[in-house]
Amino acid sequence: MINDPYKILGVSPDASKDEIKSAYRKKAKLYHPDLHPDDPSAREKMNELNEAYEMAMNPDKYRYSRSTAGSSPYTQYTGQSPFGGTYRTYTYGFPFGSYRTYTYGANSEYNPNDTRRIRDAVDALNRNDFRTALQILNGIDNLHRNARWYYLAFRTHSGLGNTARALQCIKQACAMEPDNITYQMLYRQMTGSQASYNTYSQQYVQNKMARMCCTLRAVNLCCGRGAMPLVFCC
Amino acid sequence: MFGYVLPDISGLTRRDVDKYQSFYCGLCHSLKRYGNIKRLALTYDMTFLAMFLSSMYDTDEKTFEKACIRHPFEKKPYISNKFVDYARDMTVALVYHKCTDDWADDRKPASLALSKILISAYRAVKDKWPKQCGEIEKELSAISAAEKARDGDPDACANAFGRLMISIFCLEKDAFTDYVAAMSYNLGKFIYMADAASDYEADMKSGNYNPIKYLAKDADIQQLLEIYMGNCCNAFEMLPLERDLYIMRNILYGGVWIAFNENNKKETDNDK
Repeated sequence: MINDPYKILGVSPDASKDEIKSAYRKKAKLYHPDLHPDDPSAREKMNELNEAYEMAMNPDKYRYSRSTAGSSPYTQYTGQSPFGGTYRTYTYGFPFGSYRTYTYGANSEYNPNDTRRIRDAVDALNRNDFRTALQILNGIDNLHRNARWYYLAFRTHSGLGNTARALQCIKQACAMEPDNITYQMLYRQMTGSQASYNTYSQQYVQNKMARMCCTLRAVNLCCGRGAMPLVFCC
Repeated sequence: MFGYVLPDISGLTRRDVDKYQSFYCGLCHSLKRYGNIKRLALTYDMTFLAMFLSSMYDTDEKTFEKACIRHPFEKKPYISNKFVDYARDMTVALVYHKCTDDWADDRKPASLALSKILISAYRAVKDKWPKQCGEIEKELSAISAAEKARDGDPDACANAFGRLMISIFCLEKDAFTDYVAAMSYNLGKFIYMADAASDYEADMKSGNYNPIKYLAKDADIQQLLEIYMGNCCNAFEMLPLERDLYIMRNILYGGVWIAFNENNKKETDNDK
């Protein structure tokens, strides 16, 4: 674990994400092993740069802890792999790297009312055997599909990357048990990317207005062109 | 499924438009390598691919100038680099398969003709990029199979198309491959489902396959599409992109909705 990612990148700790990206680009040009084929430390420097980038881009995950004396002040927030799983509000909807797919929440436990088949499904989920879990759940008829069934189906479909059905299932679970805080939280986690997308979109729109205002002024000064030209051929 | 990954021109400056255009023209000039097919195969979606990879791998963007049939009197700048050529190759593969599928499904003679024109180009592309072409064939077969099976699974085709996009976008295995994969996977799912949503009314009338009918009656398609783009952009914003970042954001936050909103508007107009 490196000590100060911001120092390695050459940015201040309150640099924006875009500034961090630019800083990475600059340093990568210096360190890239392809540019220094004779330098064995180039690869090491590049790996260090990549690690610094990952840490700077995920500040919540790598919390600065002053209490650890002698070791790196940065400790990883969870024991999971950096790419694994839902992290806070950032979801990628993708089974990263090790294909230990993203699981919403910790391992499931049995509920006291669970039938044997539900317990089998829970076991399958806990060993990330999503196909088996789906088979078991589909074998349970409609009459017995309660909120818990929909919650487990949500976990299964999430693991398989079946976004449309996962969304349907968690919505149904929430509708059947509106007081269940866990289900509400999972629904919010899933729609978290919708929220972050809308936030980014708003920022983009603000930047767009600023950018277009400058252009309009420039265009009026130089060319006096009218409407936006037709861009493409076909 | 082409025509979703577009720029929102109203949000681009003249310089941005010219830059985007120079990739588009670059793709067009590059397609000439396979004969006179460029007018039939050029897409905006693969223009995004060329721009994205050029930015990601900091490739030179050598600009040349040339007049062409469409602009006979004015030399327009165009970019030529290895990713424009790669996007050209992927264009050939995708358009070739689209034509063979269209011929198999709808018996359109134009599709058969184009697929015959493209077949030697496709063989060359397949020799050069066996992994990508193998994946494209595999996932398009999976989509075909799901369309025939009609087993109530709304995610199968979208996921297959997502995997197809991963194989096209992920060229290198490096520190960022997972993010590029997550971005392209979700973008692929968005494209497939937005297209399905746009075709829904027509497909219900004609009895064609459409996975939207396997969603709940009160399903919020807009929400689902925003979740796909949200996942896509969460990954996109983790990548160390600098060059043309504004144009790419314009596409991913604005442009991708243009075709979808147009089609939705048409349907609500028809309802009135």
